[in-house]
Formats: sequence, structure tokens, C-alpha cells
Amino acid sequence: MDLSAIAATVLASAVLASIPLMLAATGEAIGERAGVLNLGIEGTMLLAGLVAFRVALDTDSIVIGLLAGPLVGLVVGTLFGLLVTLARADQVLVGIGLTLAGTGLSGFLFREWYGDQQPLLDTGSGRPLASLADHVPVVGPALFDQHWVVYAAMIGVLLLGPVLTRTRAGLLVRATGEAPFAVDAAGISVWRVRLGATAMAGVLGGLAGAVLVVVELGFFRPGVTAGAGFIAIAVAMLGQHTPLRVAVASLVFGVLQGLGPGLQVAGAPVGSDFPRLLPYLGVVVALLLARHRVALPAALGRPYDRATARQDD
Amino acid sequence: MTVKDMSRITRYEEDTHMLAGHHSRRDGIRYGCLVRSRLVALAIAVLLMAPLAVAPASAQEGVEVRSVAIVTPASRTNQGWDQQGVDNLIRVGEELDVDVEVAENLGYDDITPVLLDLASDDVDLIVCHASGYQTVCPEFAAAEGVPVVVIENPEAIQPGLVADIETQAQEAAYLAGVMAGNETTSGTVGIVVTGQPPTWNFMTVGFAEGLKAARPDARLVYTSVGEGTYDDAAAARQVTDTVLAAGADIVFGMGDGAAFGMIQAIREHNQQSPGQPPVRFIDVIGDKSGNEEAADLLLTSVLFDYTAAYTQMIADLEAGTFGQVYTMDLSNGGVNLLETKLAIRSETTEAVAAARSGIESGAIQVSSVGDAKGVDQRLRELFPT
Amino acid sequence: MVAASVESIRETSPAAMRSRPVLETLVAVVLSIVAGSVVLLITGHDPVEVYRALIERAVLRPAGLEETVVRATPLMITGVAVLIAVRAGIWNIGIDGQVLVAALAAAVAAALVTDAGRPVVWLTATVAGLVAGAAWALPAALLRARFGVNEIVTTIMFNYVALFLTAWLVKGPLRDRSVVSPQTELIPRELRLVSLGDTRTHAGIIVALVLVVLVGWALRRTVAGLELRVVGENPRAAAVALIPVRAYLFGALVVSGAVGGLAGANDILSTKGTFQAEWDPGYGFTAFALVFLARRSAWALVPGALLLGMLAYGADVMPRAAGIDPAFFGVIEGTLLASLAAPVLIRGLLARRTRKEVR
Repeated sequence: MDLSAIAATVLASAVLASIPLMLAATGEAIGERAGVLNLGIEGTMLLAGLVAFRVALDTDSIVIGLLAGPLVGLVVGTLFGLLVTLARADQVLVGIGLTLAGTGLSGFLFREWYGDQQPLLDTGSGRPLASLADHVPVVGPALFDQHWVVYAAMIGVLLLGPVLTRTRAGLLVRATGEAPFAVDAAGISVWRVRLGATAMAGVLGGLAGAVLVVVELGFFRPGVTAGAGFIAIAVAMLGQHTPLRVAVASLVFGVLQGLGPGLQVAGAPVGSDFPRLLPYLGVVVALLLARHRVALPAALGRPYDRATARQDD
Repeated sequence: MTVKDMSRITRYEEDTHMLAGHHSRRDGIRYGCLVRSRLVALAIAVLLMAPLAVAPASAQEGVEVRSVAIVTPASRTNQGWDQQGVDNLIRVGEELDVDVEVAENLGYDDITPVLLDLASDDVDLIVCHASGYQTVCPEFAAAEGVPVVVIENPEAIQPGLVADIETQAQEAAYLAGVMAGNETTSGTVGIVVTGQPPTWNFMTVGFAEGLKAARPDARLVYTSVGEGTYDDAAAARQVTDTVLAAGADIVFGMGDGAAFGMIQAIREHNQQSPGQPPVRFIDVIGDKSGNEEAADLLLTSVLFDYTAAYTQMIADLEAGTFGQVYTMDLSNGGVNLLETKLAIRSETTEAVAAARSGIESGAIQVSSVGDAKGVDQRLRELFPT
Repeated sequence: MVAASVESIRETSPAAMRSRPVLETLVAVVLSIVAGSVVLLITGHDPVEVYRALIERAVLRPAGLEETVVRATPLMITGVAVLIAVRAGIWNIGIDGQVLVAALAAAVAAALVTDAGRPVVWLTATVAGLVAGAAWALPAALLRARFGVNEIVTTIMFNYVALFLTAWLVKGPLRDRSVVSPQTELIPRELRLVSLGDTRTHAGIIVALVLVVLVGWALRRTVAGLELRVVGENPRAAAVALIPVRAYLFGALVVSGAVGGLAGANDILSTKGTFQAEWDPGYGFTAFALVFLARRSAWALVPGALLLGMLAYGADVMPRAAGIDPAFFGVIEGTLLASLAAPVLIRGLLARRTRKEVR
């Protein structure tokens, strides 16, 4: 058996699988940086994925489908943001509500729209660098045999790093998560910054759903994200809320997920259940090991409250 | 009953040749007015149920079956197990002019309340369409006196109350294995399962035995996506990618919605490797050839057809002989192989036909292994690494 | 201006929430019904017919009402579990995993003592469930209290681990070999919890109610309960007051896990009788919905659980009664959660306007 071929595919597959995770986790990281924990990513991804799928099918264009996803994410993220900033609703509460509603609505609409049909999109084309893959052993396919969206998404996420650290907007976002009182004292509206961050998180979550459905799978099924929205929260934390590290953490998670089937195919007597729980245990262990560096924004999860801010911050 | 079902009834109106003869009460209920007539049916059924409630165990009298129900763990549009049962029962209902109630997406929580709700609508028979319901349904039948059908639990049968469907899917899976063994050019064949429920396990072992018989030197790559991943298409896709990398050129995939993740992985693989013989997919339970993209790589499918079993059990209920084990096997057409548009070699067709007659004559015995440990053991025996 | 913002902002503090909790919760319920109606209308369904069928099936029919109570039982118990953690300011999103592990432990332990009779079976399953639930929350509790690792992520991760671990156990070492499908040895009906009269409602609801009363009392009237609340609302003040914050965080999560485990044991001892692979009731999120619906009050968990129990049962019977996909009930539940924030939003907007006027 060609072990290197298997390893190459596990890696290539993991890269593709890590893209939606990376996008969603980056969005989550930006939201958390501003002090907003969004447990509604899963629901956002599903809703956006469904709409992206339908738009891509109806327009026969992957690009338009990919644009529709973030649009849905923007609407959902803004709504979420309004509820947790202006209304000062509990973030965990609204997040769970969003996940429940998004999961339910996407499943309901899918059934209404497609009944017992399952249309499929074409996912095989659009790989500009595929011809280079054979020249590099093992990691060739992972690096080159990928959809152009994979590269675009990676570049986009990596560019967000400097945006967060170097620009005024990025600084504001981070300050709002660490010391909202200081932001407020500087005459900048805390809730506007947070709203902007959650809208951005929604856009990225929506894009994640669209990429999963339109690029990775080529179809939507009810609950197709299978928990990716929650993994994204873990990955955002592991990635210490910086886009580059989030990308790395997503990739590691993708590889861990692919490791199980890889081992099974290679003939290792591991069964199917233990490899499946590896990535999740891995996250816990990684959180433990990196505990000194995985610092959460000081004001995470708390609605900003001018009246009490002084005593807390 | 949804509007869609109603329209289907009209579509099947002329298609009632089979059993129209001995169902003279057809006069009583008209197609278009099922809802209104349900009131009448309710009243009649209440009367009919009265003696049943007094002596549930001795319901050998036979009842007039007006309405049957099916309960499924997942969605009735899940492109697999659940959909096949529901679609088949609806077809039987249309042919016999029996009202069909569908309770879907129930998971493996306690379904007794749903069964009770169905009973309160006076259904005459409940099909418990999951091997995971083999405990709760007989308990319910004993308590309420409503006849039920369970899957893969022959010990539970009780005259008048509990019948059992045994799907000998391993027989058709064996044929699929023979087909794969004859059709593979790489000599490597993959099996991808979404969890290890009995039905998947039976087919895994049947397929492996067929493959071994047809091509002793074949290599079998067996992978499970993980427990309860019937709809986890992304994970199924990732697993299938890996199986393809191991050189498999035929993939036997068992998963409901997740099967489309496998199909997409194969489609993409084929597009990426032009000039090589395309990888083909063997499906289970239903017929996905209506889907153009899937049809292009669908070698065959291990089809489940419950219509004969459902028809027979309704007849038995009316005759007072309900409560048996109904077997779905190759010889009665309960399981079968789907013919698809893909060209297969004539040697393959012959080998499959020979295996079929071997199974039907009893010359070939296909193992029936339902538990996960047993699968591992049998696969190791057949394909030692 | 400060006064206005205090009024509008401190809605998360229990004191302010008691302003008009019943009214605001009702508004949220109505809003979620409206949201559901919009979805139904857009997709060509008749909302009146759908809701009428729901009420008829789940409330007006005696069997439906019994079932609503049966469904409410584990929700009430898991609601208490979430509440205990929430009071300490921590998020136990691992209820699902705790329920699974505890249910498996309860099923296996109870099956070992079936010869000893009913009380022993009950006691064994209960203790096994409590211990297993607590044990499953232990790593997250340790990590949080000892190392400060966020419990939201660890508890979610342990849900997945529980799912695959229990599946492996019940397919392998703990499987009842006399049946084909992977499940543990069945506890006979006559050894499970007694029914209340001639109904499907069982003694579990009494346990749940006692638990609500007990925990409600402990949280409000005992020193530990009050200190727990201080830890949850203001850990810094708690530390200043020499309250052992870490011990409370640890204890709250472990006790929350144990109570969550009780729900698993309840399911095995009542409706299930056996642990099956692939069974995953997913109470966790609904329990969160419940706690917030109840506005973090223990007593209010009871009516809240009944409402959500009705929806849970509705999701099972409605598709048939009204021809809609069960996923619809996710929409209702989700918008109900989000709507709980709506009255606050309106008040907040009003307050902003007042502030502007003052300005």
C-alpha cells in the first residue's frame, strides 16, 4: 500500500476541511476580541450555507453563491450584535438561540425548497495550481491541488492579522474587549465597536458556511456543519485570537480529524470511535498546555455597563 | 398525510391492480376525501378496537386495516433508510387504499408518546422502522394492544401483536461484492460506513464475502466515519478521499445523507484524474440514479424493497395471522441489486447471476453478522493483513 | 442620566429582572410565536392550524398532557444543573455529555442488581448517574478552578468525547449480546420508576420537583448559596470577602454535572430502560433556554419546563398533525431565546431616548 499517497490525501483533505473552520474561528476571534462571545456561529453557518447553496444552484455560479453566504452572515451577525450590545442581552443566551433557530430554519427551508431531492454542485474544477502538485512529494496535493477559494480564504485571513494589530479599527476592537471603560472614556461608543465586530464575525461565519457547502461539499444537508461552529469557538481560543494562529490551529484540527480514517485505511487496528475523539481531547490538552498564553479578553461575555464599569475594569 | 401524499395517491389511482380484488371496502373510502372519511374511519375503528382492547393477546380474529403508521428515527427525506421505509409504506397504502401516517425524525429518545399519539388516531398497525426500536415497540404493543412491526428482532414476535422484519441484506450485498470483485481493476475496494448499526454490519460482511469469493486476492479497505454520522457529509467526504488514496476504484458506501459526501469525493477524484478508469460507487437501500450527477458513477445499489413485506403483514392482520417473521431476501425480491446505466462486463453479469442462484439454492451461505466486534473479526478472517 | 442608564442597563442583575419578569417572558413567548408564524406563512402553511394542532395534541389530549409532563422531567433536572453553574457564573455546556455518560453508568449498574429488587435498582442507578455525571464534569472543573482554562470549550469538547466513548463501550464491552442492536441489558418495566396513577407520568417528576425546591432553597437561603451567587456576580468582591472562589467554581461545576447525570439516570429508570448507541437526547441547549426563560429563578423552571416539554413533544407529533418539518420547532425555541432579550431592547431604546431628551 502506498502510505505516502494516503498521507498526501489526508493532508490535502485536511487543508480543505480546515478552511471553513478557519474562517468561522477567525470571525469568532474578532468578536471575542471585542468582548463578544458568539455561540451562534453554527446557526449562522447553516443558514448562510443553505442560502449560498440555493443561490449557487439558481444562478449556476459558485462565486455568486459565495457572496450570498457572507450577506446572510452580515444580517444575522448584525442582529446578534444589536441584541447583545444595545439590548444588553446575555451573549450565551442569544448565541444558543441563534444556533437553535438557524439549525431549525435551515433544515425546515431545505425541506420546503427541495423536498426529497438532493441537487449537487460541481466541486471538481477551479484548481489553478493542480499541475504543480505532482512535483512535490506528500505535501504536494495539500499545497497545490486546492480550489482557488482555499488560497483566497487563507490570504484574506492572514491579511486580517495586521488589520487587527496595526489599524485604528483593529486597536479599537481589541481595546473594547480588554478595557471597554477606557474606550468609552475616549468618547468612542463601545456598543458601536462591538456591533461592528459581531457583524464582521457574522460575515466570516456566513462565508464559512458558504465555503463548506459550495466549495467543499457541493451540496447542503440539514445539519451539514455537524458541530463545526462549536469547534470554531475552541479553535479561536486555541489560536489565541490572532488570525495566523487560528489558521494553524484549524489546520491541526483538520489533520487530527483526518488522522482517524488515515489510520483505519492504513490498516492500524484502531477502530473508528477512538480516532474520532482524538481531535476533541487534543483541544482540551492543547488548552491545558497553552493555558498561560490563552488569555481571554478581560471583558469577554459581559455587556458593557457604564454604571458599573469602574469597579470591574 | 401531506398534500404531496394526496397528490401521489391520485397518481397511483390506476395502479391498484394487485390487490384490488379482495379489498371490497374500497367503496367506503374515496380518494379525494380521505380527511373527512377519517372521521368515519375513526368511529368504525373505535368499534373495532373495542374487542381488541379487552383481549389484546388473542387478536387472532383479524381486523379490517384502515390505517397504518410508520415511525422513523431520521427524516423521511434523508435519501436512505428512513425515506425508503416511508416511501414503500405509502405505496402499499395507496395500493390497498389504507391511510398511512408518518411520524419521522424521532431519534432514539423514548418514542412511546408518539406511538400513543398514533394509537389515539386509531392506527391498526405501527411499523417501527429502526432496529433501535426493537425494545420499545414490543413493550408498547403489550401495554396498548396495538400491533407493531420491529426490525431484526425475531425473538420479540407475538401472535397478533408483534411481527418482525428480517432484512437479509447480506445476500444482495454479497452480490454487490461479487460485482465489485469482477469490476475492480486496481484490486482494491473500499467500504465506507456511517456508524455500525446492525443493517450496515450485515451488508459489510456480505459484501466482503462476495468480494473474497469473486477475487480472492482483492484488498478491502474498511473505514467507519464514526458513530451516528449518517448525515455528516463533510466527514464522509474526508474519509472517502482517504479510501480513494489507498487505491480503491470501487467504494461501497453506507450512509443516508452522508452518502452524497462520498459521491462528491468520487466525482471530484474522477474529474482530477482524467484518462484513468473512473472510480465507481455502490449505494445502499434506495435508488439515487434519478440524480444525474450520482448516476454517472453509480455501479449498483443494494436495494431494500419493503412493499411485499408490508403488503403481506397487512393481509395477515386482516386474516388474523399477524405476528410472524417476514424475511426480505433475494428470492422474494425484498433485497436486490439495482441495475444502472453504467456498462459492466458480461463476465460480471454472469458471475453475479451464478452467485444469485447459488444463494437462492442454498449452495452459497452468506454469514449474518450484526455486531461491530463480529464485523471486525470476520473481516480479519477474510482479508488478513 | 446615570440613573437612567442604571435603570436600563442592570437588567441582568436579578433585582432589576424582577421588575416585570412574567410580562416580559410572555412578550418573548408571543414574539417567538409570531416569528414562527412568519416562517409558516412565507412557506405557505396556516399558522393558526399549526398552533391549534399543537395545543390540541400536546395539552388538550390527556395522553399529550401526560407526555408533556414526562418530557418536562429531564428538562427540569438539567435546568437545575445549568442553574447551579450559572449562579456561579460558569457555563456548563457539557450537560449532553454528562447525561450520556451517566445514563450509560446508570443502565449498566442497575442491570447488575436487578435481582435485588426495585429500591436497590433505583438507588444504584441514581448513585451511578450522580457519580458518573460529576466525574464527567470533573476535568472541566479542575481545569477551570486550578488552571483557569475556559469551561465553555472544555465542556463542549467533552460532549463529543462522551458521544464516541459511550458508543464504543456499548458496541463492545458493555453490549447486551442477546440482541442485535448495540444496547445495554434492558431493565424490566416492573423495576423502573413507578407510574403516577394510571398515567405515563412517573415518579421522576416528583424527584425533579423536590430537586427544584431543594436547590431553590439552597441557592437563596443558605450561606453557600449566597456566596455562590457573589462568586458568580462579582468574583473580585467575593475574593475580597475571603470567599473561596476557586472552590466554589469547582464545586458548582461538579455538582452541576452530578445533577445533569441525574437526568440521565432518570431517563434510564423511566422511559428508556436501556442505553442505546446513537441515543443522544441533547437536553443541554434546551436546558439553557429553560434557565433563561425562567430568568434564573429555580421555581420558574417548573412552568418553563412544561412549556418546553410541550414543544419537545410537539416536534414529535406535529409533523404528522400539521404536515410541517420538525425542524420548525428549532425555529420556535431559538427565537424564544433571542426574544427574551427583546423587552430589554425596547426598554433600552426607550431609555436612550430619555437620555437624549435629558441631554
